[in-house]
Formats: sequence, structure tokens, C-alpha cells
Amino acid sequence: MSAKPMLNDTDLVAYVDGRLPADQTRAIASAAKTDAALAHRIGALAAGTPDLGDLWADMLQSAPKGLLPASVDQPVVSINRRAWFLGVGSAVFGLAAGFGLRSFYSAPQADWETAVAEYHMLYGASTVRALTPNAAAQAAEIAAVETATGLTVPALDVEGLAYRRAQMLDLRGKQIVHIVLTTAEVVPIAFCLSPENGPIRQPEYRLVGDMGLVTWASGSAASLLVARLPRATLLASADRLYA
Amino acid sequence: MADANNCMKQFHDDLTDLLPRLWRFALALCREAAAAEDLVQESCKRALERRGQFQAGSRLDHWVFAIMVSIRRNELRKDRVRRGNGVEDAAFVCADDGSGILVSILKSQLFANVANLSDVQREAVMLVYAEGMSYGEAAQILDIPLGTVMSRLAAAKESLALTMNPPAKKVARI
Repeated sequence: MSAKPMLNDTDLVAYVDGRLPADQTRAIASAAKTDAALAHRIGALAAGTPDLGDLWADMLQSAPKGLLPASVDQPVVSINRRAWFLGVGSAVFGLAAGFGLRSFYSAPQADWETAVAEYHMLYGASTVRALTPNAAAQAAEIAAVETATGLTVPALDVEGLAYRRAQMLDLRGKQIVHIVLTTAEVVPIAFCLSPENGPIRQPEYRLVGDMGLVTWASGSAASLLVARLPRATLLASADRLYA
Repeated sequence: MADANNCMKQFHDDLTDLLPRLWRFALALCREAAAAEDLVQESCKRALERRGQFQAGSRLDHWVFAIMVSIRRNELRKDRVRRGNGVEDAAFVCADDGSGILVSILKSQLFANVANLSDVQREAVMLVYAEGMSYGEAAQILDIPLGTVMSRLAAAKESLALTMNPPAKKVARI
């Protein structure tokens, strides 16, 4: 006994899409030869079944690159949107020591200071409050980052600032010493160093979003101070670290 | 603790891998780049917030797509309430941030054809044809019966056929 195909859109859509089992496909094809209405319906559905494969592929390719792993670059998204995606990573990872910015940030033309500033936007008091290393732990962390980079971390005993953590970051192969300090009000400050041979630069202030940045260079290392603090306060802190 | 961190990292990695597909789906639903980004962001945020509800071993993509559908529907609902009218299809917006490929897509006739489908038709078309999901999987994500998926696909095909092959205008014969 041959199966009589059911002439409804459920089957016909699947037929046109090529998703029916072979026996049903044959049955419908056979029925369409003698059923003009069925043939017409199939034709109508088939006419609305374009090959959209290129469109789907192009749409995938058009995804803002800030959404993609860093292996795919060419950023498109704005700073704020990238910062949000940094937030996705942060929310998942916590701010586990030692993870690289590479995981979230993929803007090759953006400077590393901006990348760190965007990363630092995620820091709040609750992020760092539990970080209370003793002197020995601090010394060990500093020694580790100095060994990793060959740089010398300046004295961090700046009045009013508390040491929280030192770790290494990696931005597309660029080594960054990332030291987290906090004010008395537990406002997180990132003090960063990165090996960089170039001219000596005096401290300069700029904004990235609502983050204040002070950058300077010693000739062998570039330094950065980032915090959501007033300009004068941040410059004063930078002066003490710079000196 | 290490296991928990590994799980979180895996979840993050899997979510990151999904982002382009989420973007594509969002772009088709919103038909506009900035809104699509917002939808992706909100969906990921919701996924992260509800990560504990995700069942290990199940399909993360299906779960996040369902979240996106839910958010999008709520947005549309709110938008309709704000506008104080019934179902009014949003105008197709072709603005974007200036990146070449996106401009090219948004201005393409194929995208316009898809964009001009109704919201519910676009959902089904994207899941079944762009994502390659089965009809049943699409029905599950959209939280509708299988037959409804099929009827929406059929309607979408009819609409696409009309758009791509408009009936020839009748010419008066003298």
C-alpha cells in the first residue's frame, strides 16, 4: 500500500526544503505530477526559497569584531560597547589574576593604555576589597612581575594609597605589569608598566570614557595610571610614582 | 573552586564563540546595527545572570537564542504599548556605523527581502535557514507549536516569492 501524501504546508515546506525522508519526497513528487493544485503550491513555495547562504555568511562576517575572539581583529564597535563586552568577561571570570586582555579586547589600532583603561572600568571597590596581601605577598608579587619584564617597579608606598595586587597582563604579546592600588575610599587605581624603548615623556593626562589616564615614559618603560578620580588627584598620584 | 572557575571559563568561551551567530540573528530581528548590538549585549547579560539555570550538556546556543527571542518580544511589546497601537512593523532602518560589509549587507536586496518579512517570520527563517536548525528545534526556541513554525515558514516563502518575483503588470492591449 502506497502512502498518500498529506497536502499541507508542513509537509510541503519540508519537501521544498529537502528535509523530508526519501519515501515522502518521492510520494509528493509523484502526486504533484497529477495534481495541478499541489504542483502550483509547491512551485509557489519553491519560488520563495532563495539561496541565502551568501547573505548568512556575510552577516556572520559583519559581526562587530569587538564581539569576537581576539584572533579575529578589525574592531568596529565603539568604546562603550567594547567595554560592555569586557564586562561579560569580567562577570564570568571574576577578575582572576593573570588572565590576558587578549580574551576580550581586539582593537589593534587602540593603544594599550586605552585597553587597560577599558578593562579598569570594570573594577569597583568590591572587586578589590578582599585583596589584602601582607608585605611578604606584596614583595613576592612585585618580584614576579619584575622578573617577567625585567623592569623595576618604583616604590609604591604613596601616602593614601593601598597596595592590592600585581599581575601580568598580555595584550597581543605586549607585556603589561598591572598593579592595583586603592585610595582610602577604596577607589581602584591601576598603575601599569610596560617595556618600551623610546623617548622620555612627561606625565600627560587624558580621558577614556569616564576614566582618567596619566601616561609617561622613562625611555625604557611606559607607565600608566588609571582611575575614576579627579584630574588633580590622579596627576598628584602620578607625580609621586613618577618621582 | 578550580572546577567552578573552569566551568565559568568554559561558559564564557562558549558564549564568546556564539557571539557572531547571536549578532546575525539580532541583526535580522532588529534590522539595524546599533539595536542589534544592544540586543546581543542584553541577551548575553541575561545569560550570564541566569547561568545557574543553564543545564550542562544541553545546547547553549538554543538557550541563548531563546533568551534573545524573549527579550526581543518584550521590547516589541513595550514598543507597541508606547506607540499606543497594534501591530505595526517597524520601518526598515539602513543606517549603520559605516563599516563596509555591514553597509553592503544592509543595502542588499536579499537582506531587504528578509528584513521585510514580519517579525515572527524572520525569527523562524533565521533559525531554520540561517542557523540550520530543525523545525522542531526552532519551535522549541520560539516556544510555539511545530505547525506554527511551518506555517510561518510557508508564509515567509510566499512573501519572499512575491518580493523576488513580483507579478508582471498587466498591459492594456489595444
